[in-house]
Amino acid sequence: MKKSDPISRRNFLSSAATGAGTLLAAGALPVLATEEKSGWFDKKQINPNIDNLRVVSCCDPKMISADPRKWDMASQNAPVIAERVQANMDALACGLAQKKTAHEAWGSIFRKPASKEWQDVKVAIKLNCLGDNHPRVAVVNSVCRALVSLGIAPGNIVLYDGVGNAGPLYRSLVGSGIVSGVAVSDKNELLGGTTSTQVPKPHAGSFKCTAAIANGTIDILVNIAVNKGTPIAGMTMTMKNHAGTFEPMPIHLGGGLNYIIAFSKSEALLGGDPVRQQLCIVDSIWANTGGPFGVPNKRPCMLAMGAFSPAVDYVMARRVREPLMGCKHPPELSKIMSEFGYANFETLDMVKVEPPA
Amino acid sequence: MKQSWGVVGLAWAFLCICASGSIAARPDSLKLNAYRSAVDSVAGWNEQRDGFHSFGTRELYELIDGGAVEYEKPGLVAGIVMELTASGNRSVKIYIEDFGTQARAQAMEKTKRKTASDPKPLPGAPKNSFTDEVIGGCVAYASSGNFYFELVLTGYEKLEKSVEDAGSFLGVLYDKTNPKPVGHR
Repeated sequence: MKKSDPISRRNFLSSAATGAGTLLAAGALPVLATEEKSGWFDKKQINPNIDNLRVVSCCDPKMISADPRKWDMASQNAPVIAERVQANMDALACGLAQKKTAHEAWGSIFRKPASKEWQDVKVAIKLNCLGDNHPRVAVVNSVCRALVSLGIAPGNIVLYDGVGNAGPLYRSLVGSGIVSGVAVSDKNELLGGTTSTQVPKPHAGSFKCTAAIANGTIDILVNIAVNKGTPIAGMTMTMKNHAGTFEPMPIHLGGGLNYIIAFSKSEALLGGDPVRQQLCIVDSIWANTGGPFGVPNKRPCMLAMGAFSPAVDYVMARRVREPLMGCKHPPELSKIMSEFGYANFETLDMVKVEPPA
Repeated sequence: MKQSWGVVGLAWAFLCICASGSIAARPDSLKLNAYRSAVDSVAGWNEQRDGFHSFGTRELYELIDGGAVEYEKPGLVAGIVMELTASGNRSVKIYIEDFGTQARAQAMEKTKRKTASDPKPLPGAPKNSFTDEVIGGCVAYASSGNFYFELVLTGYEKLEKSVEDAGSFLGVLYDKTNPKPVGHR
């Protein structure tokens, strides 16, 4: 071997290209988006009748008869007073839509494509099925009842979690707690599996997403989260709940909060006419300061909802998790609002709705 | 010449991979099995066979999704999780995790202490342990040697009883890490 043999520039570039190609194929580098599709633009209104920043909450200890001692589905639902939850959910809908009757309110919150009749409208409800704390059956059912009251066929409503899996948790409760005929998907099975779709900045690229949501088959998307902690921005509520609609691993491969913000702006969630994701709910009856897995350690006895996911999460973090649960959130929490073009949101508060007498 | 550069390149790649820690330390399977036997010996508790899983970091993502990051960062090598039940509707889920070194196991326990809601010392247990109350019981955290333990106890009416049961389990786990010398009384 000649000591003076240099590595030729061509060989070096060739090796570098091969290496980069291998890393891309292995998913180690982010895919560069050729087209940046977003469902969001600054000042976009999710619902023309509801201010994006309007978040309503209801605190009512009478929603439960006791604390669960265990956290399987039966145990965490047995102490819940379903009638009380239904009444509070109706009151919250009235508060959010600023309507006098529940029927008017739900009819204002949920909107259908002009070309469809209500009976043909397709709905997906994303639940958080990770860990031990899950949206209570009475909360899920109150949304199903509201949708059915508008004329939507129960069979056109699908409960799902593409990662945590709603099937084993909720299927046995259809007909005994949840409106008969509602479908419960094993992961994404009833929603066409997954397909790749674009998400915009701040983490632009192509990522796997629940197919029927990415391709617009679903007309109305409802987001029912629980109140938990996570290493990413200190909390997981309605925004991160869609790590389960979108593949979650990019969060842990460097995407972090930017990836969560990016898919929260996606065409899949905020595209459509009307906007697909129309209602975001946080079931905070029991909550976790830590997480995202694990057993709840707090009892806020609270339900909250809004049309705009970042506002719901921001207000819940600042007005519930911090003062009532003793949680701390890093400064990057503010990005969930500023990345959507909002400023001066630090004093944003929730509209408190009194439980019906 | 090309072959020589190929060998150098491969050696360089190998060194880079080693330096980045991509070649995981070998899990201490014998010790993990010994811990499982020790936990099974606690009187009054029955292991639920379908609740047992062994995991490396990748499998932990399947078990607890994003929660796995918190364990991967300090250097989790491998672990097991087991579930046991007892009279009165009590149950415990026990994570026994090999972090390869004592310093890493202790770092994991300290991380949990920082993020705990209301950490309390576990009566009679070594200093690297504490409990945190949850609804229906408690979670106990501890490190001993290269190992880190996390016990989730639920089904309790009284917090004190869950802390007492956590102490029983941690006692057998500590004994397994630090066996008494022969002739010890």
